[in-house]
Amino acid sequence: MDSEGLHLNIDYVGSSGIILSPEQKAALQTSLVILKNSGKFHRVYFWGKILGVKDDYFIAQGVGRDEMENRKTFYSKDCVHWGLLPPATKAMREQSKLAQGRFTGDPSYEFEHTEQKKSEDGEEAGEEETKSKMRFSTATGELEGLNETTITIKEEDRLSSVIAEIDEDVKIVPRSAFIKTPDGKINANRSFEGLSVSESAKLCSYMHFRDAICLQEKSLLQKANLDKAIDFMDTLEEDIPKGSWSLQFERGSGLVTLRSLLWLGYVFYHVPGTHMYGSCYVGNGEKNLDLPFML
Amino acid sequence: MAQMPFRFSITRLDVCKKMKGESRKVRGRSTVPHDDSVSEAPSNQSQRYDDYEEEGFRELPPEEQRCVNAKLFLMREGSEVDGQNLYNHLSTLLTKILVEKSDDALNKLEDESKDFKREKFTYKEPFIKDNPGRTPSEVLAHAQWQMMKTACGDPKFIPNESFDLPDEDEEDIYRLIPNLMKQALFFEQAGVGLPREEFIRITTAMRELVEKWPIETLRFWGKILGTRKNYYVVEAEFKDGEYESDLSDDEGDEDKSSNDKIEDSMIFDDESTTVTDEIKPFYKPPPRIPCESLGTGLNKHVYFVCNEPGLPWIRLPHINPAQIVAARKIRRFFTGDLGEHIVSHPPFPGLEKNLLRAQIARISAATTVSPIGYFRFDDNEEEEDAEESGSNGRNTCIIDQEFEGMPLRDLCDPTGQTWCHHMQSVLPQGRNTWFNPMEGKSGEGGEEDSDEEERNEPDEPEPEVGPPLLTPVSEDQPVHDSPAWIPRISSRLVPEFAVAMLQSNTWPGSWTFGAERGRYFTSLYIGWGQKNLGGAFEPEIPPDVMEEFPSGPEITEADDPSPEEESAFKAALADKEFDAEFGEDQAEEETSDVDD
Repeated sequence: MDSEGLHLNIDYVGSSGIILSPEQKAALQTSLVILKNSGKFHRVYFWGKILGVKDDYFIAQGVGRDEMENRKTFYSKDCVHWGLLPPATKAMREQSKLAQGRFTGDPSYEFEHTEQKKSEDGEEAGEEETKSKMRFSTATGELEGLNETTITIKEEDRLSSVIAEIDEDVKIVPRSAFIKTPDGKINANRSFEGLSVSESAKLCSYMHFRDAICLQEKSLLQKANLDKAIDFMDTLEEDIPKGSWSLQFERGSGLVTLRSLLWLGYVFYHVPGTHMYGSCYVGNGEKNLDLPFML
Repeated sequence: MAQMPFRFSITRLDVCKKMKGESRKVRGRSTVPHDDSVSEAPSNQSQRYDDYEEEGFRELPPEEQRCVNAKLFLMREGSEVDGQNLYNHLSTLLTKILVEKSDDALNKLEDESKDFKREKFTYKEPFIKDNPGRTPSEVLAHAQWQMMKTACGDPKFIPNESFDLPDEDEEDIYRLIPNLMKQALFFEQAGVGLPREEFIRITTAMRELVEKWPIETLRFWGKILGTRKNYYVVEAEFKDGEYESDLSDDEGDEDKSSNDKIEDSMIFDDESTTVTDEIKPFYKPPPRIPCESLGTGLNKHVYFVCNEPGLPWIRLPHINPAQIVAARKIRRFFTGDLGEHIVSHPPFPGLEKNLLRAQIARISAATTVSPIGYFRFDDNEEEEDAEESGSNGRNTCIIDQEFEGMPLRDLCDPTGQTWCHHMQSVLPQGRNTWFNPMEGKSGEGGEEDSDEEERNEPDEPEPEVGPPLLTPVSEDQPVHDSPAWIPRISSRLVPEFAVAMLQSNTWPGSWTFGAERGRYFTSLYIGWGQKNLGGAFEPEIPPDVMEEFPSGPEITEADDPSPEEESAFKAALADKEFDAEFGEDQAEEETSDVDD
């Protein structure tokens, strides 16, 4: 959510259990302003918190005018000193999926992942065993005629990949909050007045803030009713599995909260009838792969 | 501005006469320009009409005709019903201009024209107004307002009147409600919990509980999020002797258990199959383990839930071990409706309220912790009680009055040795204390068959033992290389006045804080109600398919004999008979021989 007015807006996600202590609020108010100036950002968002074993990471994102293009991610352990995270490349993201367990809280920590391939008397690598260990030393397992590859993943890279994945999977905005200009730039809609109560009860009024995937596969007939300036992103209705979003009204119909069940801890809020909306993630940084069992 | 019927013609201005019977004298304007000819013409015309009705219209001179036409056009009414036409509009406009005689008349012409038009517009309110009905926020607001109203009391109450304040020594049931605001303050320091307004609402809502139920202690347990609605959970202990009076959910359980029994027996006693009594199935349902007596063990605490503070509290039913065992095997989100069916594998014996109760029981048993030394075992406990609690050791503890507390640094010890559990853990069986199913069997007797002896477990099952009470949390099983508990200090900027926070890794969402040197502490759970498995969830595999009947000669199919075999068999049979007869004849002959 936007860093301006953070201390007020954080109340909106309070009912999901996300609150900031007064100390954190005070520290964030000052340090995010400094971050905005030093990075020359148009806006700075408080992205959320990733909980680790020894320490938590506070994440902030700075964006330029085009919010989808220029995004820089920062992390901090005490809300006072911020460090830039390396942008997540595809290879980094693939590797980070192999690291298991919780974040430790030490950015220089290295996760290890060993893959073993057994080769028995001419048979090609029939079985693969994957073991992941978290240890400070780099010693690997036994070598009894096994071919092993050990991959080390730095916690910083894993953090960056998890943040990128969360943004791609579950970051949402209300429909018509952003407008695509004819030359392809995406700007915030200044005359966004908010969704009505009935509209905010439907999942199709919220869209993923990323390049459209399902949109291209739609037939022309389905696209006929869409407005090109507004409907350039995927809506939540096409999410698989169905029911992976929990939509609730708090305070009667005064506040609508969407919680993702795929990434537990992601909360999006919107006040119907006003232009207030925002989202936040506070969680372990682990994807909920058991979701199909749980619905 | 009154409408002043200044009449004028486009061609010339003359001194007036009346037109259609209307005349108004304007002060200071005796020389009102009126068109004589136009006013006269129609009257003349009307006269002429009377005279020459049958002769048709009298022709006007062309100029006058044009004038009349133009005027009539101007006086044509517009599409609005309010009688506004161009003629009147222009006349009022020009009147105003002439009255004011300003220099700027040309520039202001359009504005004044617009003003006139705007003034004429009237909005008629429809007589029937919409009744929007009650929005959900209004309904909720009314419920909460009601709750606050009863708590507030008389609005004319002046708080300064000392005799109305609650007396400290009085037996005030409202004193049972915990000081949630103090807890909220400590939780907020660590960045955990709910907004303070919610705590206030929950405190006010708890008043309903103490008024209705015989409660001994009360605690706000936490909030469980669901997909459609959420649950606010409150933990309570009833006064001694009150558990038996509350039988609201026993009937439901009995019905279910009898249904199960009927179903089981029906499958296996089906009389339509022609099967002899010797062939009986091997399957025996696992022994039903009874839950502990009310008020002890897992049912020591009673839980109340509501979807929103302000809505009525609902008591959750008591838990039985089968539900705990099943709850361990499934992984579900809560929807928010207590009566929702749970469709899962293995089938869960109950509705969502039972699953909720089971999860709450598991979470409470695993995450209720206190600083070491706060609770201690009761040395005065009688020996009988100690034996009754079985191999699990002691199952009750009391507050140590001489607890001195420990410094903050100890409370935040990263190994977790300074905190301990003060609630008994749940055995794999689903209870706090071990129940031997074999003992129960001998008591039940009559229903069981003699097949009981054919069971594959001739030995008594091993009693299950859990960790004893008051073990430090460092002994808990780690979750996939991460420790089970994570102690932290709440503040970095102000560490002198910080509190210790303990966060559970097995049940993410469970938080405990310890303040005032460990003398003030409590736990809170805010989360989805799921355990951290440390890996992927593995659902239970369905059991092996049961064999229908043991194969034996009675039911093994044999091939029908082929014709050759049949004839050979017949031949052999015939031979046998012949031999038998022959043998007899021979015997007879022999005997007859002997006789001779």
